[in-house]
Amino acid sequence: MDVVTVEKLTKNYGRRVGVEGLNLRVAEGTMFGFLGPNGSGKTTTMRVLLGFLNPSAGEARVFGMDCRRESEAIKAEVGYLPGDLRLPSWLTCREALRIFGRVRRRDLLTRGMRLAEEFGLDPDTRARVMSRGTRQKLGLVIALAHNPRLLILDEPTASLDPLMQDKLYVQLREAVRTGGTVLLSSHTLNEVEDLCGHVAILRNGRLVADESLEALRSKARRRITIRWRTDAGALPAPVDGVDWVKRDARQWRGVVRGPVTILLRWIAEQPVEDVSLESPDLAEIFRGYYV
Amino acid sequence: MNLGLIYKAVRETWATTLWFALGLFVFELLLGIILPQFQREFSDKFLQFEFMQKILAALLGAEVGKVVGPAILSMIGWSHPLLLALVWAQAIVVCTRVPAGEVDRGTLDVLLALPVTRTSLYVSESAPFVITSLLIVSVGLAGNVIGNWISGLERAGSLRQLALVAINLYALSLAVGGLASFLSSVCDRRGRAVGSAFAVMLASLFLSSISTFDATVKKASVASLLNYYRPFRILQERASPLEDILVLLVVGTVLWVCGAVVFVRRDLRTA
Repeated sequence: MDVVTVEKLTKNYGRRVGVEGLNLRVAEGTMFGFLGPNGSGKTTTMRVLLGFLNPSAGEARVFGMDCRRESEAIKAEVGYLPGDLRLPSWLTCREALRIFGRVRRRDLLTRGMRLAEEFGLDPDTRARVMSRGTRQKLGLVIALAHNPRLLILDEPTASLDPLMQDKLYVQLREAVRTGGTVLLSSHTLNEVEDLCGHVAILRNGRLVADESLEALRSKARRRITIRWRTDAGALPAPVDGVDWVKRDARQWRGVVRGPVTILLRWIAEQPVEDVSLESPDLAEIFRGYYV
Repeated sequence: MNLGLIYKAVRETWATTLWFALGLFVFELLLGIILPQFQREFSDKFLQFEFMQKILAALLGAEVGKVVGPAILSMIGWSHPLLLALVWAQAIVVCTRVPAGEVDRGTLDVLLALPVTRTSLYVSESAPFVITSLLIVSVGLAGNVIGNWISGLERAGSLRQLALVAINLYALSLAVGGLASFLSSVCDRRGRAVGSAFAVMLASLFLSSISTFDATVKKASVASLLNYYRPFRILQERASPLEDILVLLVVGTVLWVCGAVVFVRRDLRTA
């Protein structure tokens, strides 16, 4: 089942295009990465899904419900972390869980306090004295406390230290493992690569890629270095799929395009001393879409 | 309405309301004590000038002549610009919190992400104002009554009439609150909403004051909210303010509802 369905979504701000003709589906139980340069339309899309903005054209649905007309029902099952989180200055973690628990008509204190402890957050510190990273932690506690079916996180690891990021990843993986769905936007490409199974990339309000990480990896270029036991100068280069950067008697270096199986079969039959094959460079692929 | 949101609204406004209430109480108390003591000097010297008679008439909304008793002077406490400023300021500060104040602070996203309709959010955030406004008007009434009692001089009108003045003032406060709520929904910045609300009320005050001096302007004064708050008529002429109160309540309600309609339909972007 698709948790999020977006069809021909367009959102204009006067003459400026926020998002144009966007088609997107997010399957249940996945971690979905949402990438793109600043101003590409990621936050606009998220805000349309949450009912903050009215689409100029097209449709957006979450759990099969219209994002604008049935916003209240949708948000009962959604946890949201804004990109630039601001909180009332008087708010503490404990008060937030109490107040939002009353609003949601459920107990948030039990799970919320556990999360606060996990994230190292003092439940009685007021937001006005919190650092940006600490406020982000509070925002995550608020987003996660009601165990939502869908998490919409706009740059969730901004301002978080590496240890805290790891803790967050644990929570997100657990959410997906128990049937939840995560839609997160990020500028940290390693994070997307580690967490997400599927990625959509926006540029100038339009979708330029919507693929699984596996598919992206298969397109990614990989650097290969071969060290020869003997003089390999006379050896013919293997067929297609490699752009050789350097070939001398003892060492060849190149970039592999596409699948490596044919190349590896060829290497297995040669007098090779050592082979070094690097992991696919997804950052290069992502950057290609950004330009 | 949502109890959680009402609690949040009360949490954010109780301190401001207490300060306004205290200010109003002290002001009314002091006026109630001090003004009647200057009654003779006021009548013998101040009001012998026609221009000063006009100014007092503009303040009270009615002609008072050359001689005024302590009762008339104590009515100044109900028409004084500072009283009006305190009442309006409380209404405007409280009623521009949502959504303009939340947009300005960047905290609206957290509220909008909650599973409540925008209507429920708007109503819940507005609801405490109905009580806080009543509170500060009541406190002002108490200050006026206690001040008069301490001075030992004649009070303007019976307690029932004073209560009617207070209710009229409460209705005016609700009208200002409705205006502020509407402007808060329409504006993207709280400063703009607050400034616009004060501009409208100052224009009302100006129109209401000038209408005493000019018959042509008097016709236009129906557009002024202050035209429907006339304590002199209640206390001196013993007129019923029911019609004025109804007009203010209708204006306030219509503006508040328009604010709700705008808030429910518009795009909301955090600053």
